[in-house]
Amino acid sequence: MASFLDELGVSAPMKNLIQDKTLLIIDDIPDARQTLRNMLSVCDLKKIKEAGSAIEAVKVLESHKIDIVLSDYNLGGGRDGQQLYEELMERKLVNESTIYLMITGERSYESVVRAAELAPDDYVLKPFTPAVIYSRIERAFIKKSSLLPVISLMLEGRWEDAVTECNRQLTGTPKPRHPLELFRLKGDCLLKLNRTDDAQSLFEQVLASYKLPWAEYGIARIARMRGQLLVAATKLQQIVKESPYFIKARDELADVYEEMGELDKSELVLEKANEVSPNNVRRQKKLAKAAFLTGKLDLAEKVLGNIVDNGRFSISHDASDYSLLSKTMSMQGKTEEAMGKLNEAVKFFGENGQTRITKLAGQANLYFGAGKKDKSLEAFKKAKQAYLEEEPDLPEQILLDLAEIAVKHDDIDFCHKLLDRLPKGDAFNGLAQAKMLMSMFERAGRADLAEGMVTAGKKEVLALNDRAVLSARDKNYDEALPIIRKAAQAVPDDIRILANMVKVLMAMVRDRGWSETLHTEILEGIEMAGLVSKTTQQELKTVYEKLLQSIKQDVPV
Amino acid sequence: MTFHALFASGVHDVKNHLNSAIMHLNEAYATNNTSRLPEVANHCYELATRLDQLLLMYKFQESNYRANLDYYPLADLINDAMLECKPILDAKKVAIEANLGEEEDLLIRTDRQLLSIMLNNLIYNAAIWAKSKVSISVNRHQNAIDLAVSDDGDGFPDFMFEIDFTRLHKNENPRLLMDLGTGLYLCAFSAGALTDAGTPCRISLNNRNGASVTLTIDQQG
Repeated sequence: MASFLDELGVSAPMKNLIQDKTLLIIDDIPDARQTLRNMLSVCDLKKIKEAGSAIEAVKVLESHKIDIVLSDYNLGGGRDGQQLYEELMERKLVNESTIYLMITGERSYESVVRAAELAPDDYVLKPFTPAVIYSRIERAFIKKSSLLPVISLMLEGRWEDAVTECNRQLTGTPKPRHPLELFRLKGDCLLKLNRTDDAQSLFEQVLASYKLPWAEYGIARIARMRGQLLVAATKLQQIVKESPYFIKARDELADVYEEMGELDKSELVLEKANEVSPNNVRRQKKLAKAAFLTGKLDLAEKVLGNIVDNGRFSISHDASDYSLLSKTMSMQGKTEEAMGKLNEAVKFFGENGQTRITKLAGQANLYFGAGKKDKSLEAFKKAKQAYLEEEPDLPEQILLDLAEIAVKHDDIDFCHKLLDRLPKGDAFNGLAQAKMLMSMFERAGRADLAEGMVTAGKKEVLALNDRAVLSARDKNYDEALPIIRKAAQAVPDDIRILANMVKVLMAMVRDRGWSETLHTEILEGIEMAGLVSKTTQQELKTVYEKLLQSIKQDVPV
Repeated sequence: MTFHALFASGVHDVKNHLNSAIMHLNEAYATNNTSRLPEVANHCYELATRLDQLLLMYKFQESNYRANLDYYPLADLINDAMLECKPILDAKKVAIEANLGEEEDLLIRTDRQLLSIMLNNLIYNAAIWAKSKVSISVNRHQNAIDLAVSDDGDGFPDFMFEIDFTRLHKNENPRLLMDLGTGLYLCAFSAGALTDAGTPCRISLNNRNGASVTLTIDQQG
């Protein structure tokens, strides 16, 4: 008698490959798990584990190698499958080689998954038959198998090899089943390799046939990488309008605005993004910080309250959420509630170096604000002692909180010691961090110290400008351009640096020939210069027009 | 046709399917005979589908729906719809086949949610009138894709072709179709919404050895 899979027309090799896999069913309803288990048994899938909650799922995944996860979207207790999936990915309990299918009774889940940072391989709508579930597993398996060689290389950081593998599949026979996925992955690799010209050609090639938001997004990322922030922002605005669920574009737009120094706009974009995809704790933290810095304390409190209530199991959640929430409350005069939040941090995360310092630094600031200087000093000393004894890794917010109370008690050396520990990423794009620092010093009544730090930062930028100019004089444009772009991004209102950037670009046109890319960036630079000085803008325009005439390039300026 | 009338009609369908399912289940309990369970499954599927459509119609009505366009392999979407409809087709002993010809690898830009609802609806509808088979075929023009769902029944009556089907949802008298109990009014509603949501989509009816409904989905931009 023919088996169920034979009737479905599944080939023997495929059957063997899939039936060897171990599956995990995640559903809070035992009956639903049993029904799914029975359906999978009909499909000869017998290696099945079960989890009735997110916590159980984590335990299973920590102790077993799972190939295929079938998770219900609604996991009860306010938790949803999408959140769980993103957390499992962050914790690396599942990775790109795991097949992850979401089971849902709502067709509108499509909207959820489109807005998600990480989309599972597919989703299956209830009610379904064994044939439907098997067909989805099989399809995801085939897709995963074809893309895995590229993804594995990417996970190892072997970007060049990944590009080669993409090319091999795209030009090989038989034709790849998922060419657009391969193009997308190749685009990502090219951007990692900083091969922006190649990436731009690839995205344009895709867009000539398919209007795909990720390809438009790729073009916007390239503009940002080239320092063309206005171009990037305009492109991203267009993507957000046309593809409201493409959440990456909103996050990128918020970052671009931040880089442009437009924190208000950045905050508004994050607010909208949070409406479209309301469960991402990392974005919520960013939104809370932006709201805090732009003075929207109500919003900051609401978002942080949501994190500590609903996002508490997220890997991104830490004691700094309580710290900033406490500060936001205290700035609104809610001192007792603010104190309560500090105790909650210890209660939730347990007594450790980080929570101890969070609580003590927060208390010290609150006492100081309430005029209880002695109690404040006592708490600060304990916090300092705990820090010096344990030197735990502290999130930025807690370091700043501790630094703030150090300044308030005139312990400037300790403050600098703490600020040295701030994540350094990039000295020029940490606008939010710089603003946090400024506001911290202002609250501590020592704005003069902040000015000192900003001046030091600016000196650093000017040094970069000088280095870029020297490199350009030696015609070493590949070194000069990225440096001058960085400098221009860091201080977009410095006309000298902006003009130098445009001059480097024009020198490249002169020595290497005209290109659409250079032309666009020159025009963008001239436009930005106009925002600071109309005279310099006109000078640059005139020089460029002359250059174009000399090389007989007839394009409008 | 007002939203309330469409809604009431949908609720009426839901009630009928639910009643039938309960009756079959009562019968199964009383006689200890499970032979009618496929029919129960059939009614439950129809019930779930109608509820899905009603929810979607509600979202349209409340302007609470945003098109969610992306590219999908058309073969996968058709295969999904065929598998989702299989219990109903099995219960009615109707076979289904898809002929994509050279379009096996075709990517379609669409709202997956809306297209799958429409496709399921057309398949269910075709299954009602089919004698033994429902067929799906695909035809690509320069900037549009025709997706035809046909049955081998007696075909549409002549008077139905007198209606201008190019924008069925805007037609003044869609009730005509509803009275016939084809269920097409819901499909038309979805198609209309799809048009309004951003992907131009048209419906046409033909008789090709039976009734055939073609969705034409524009693919520009």
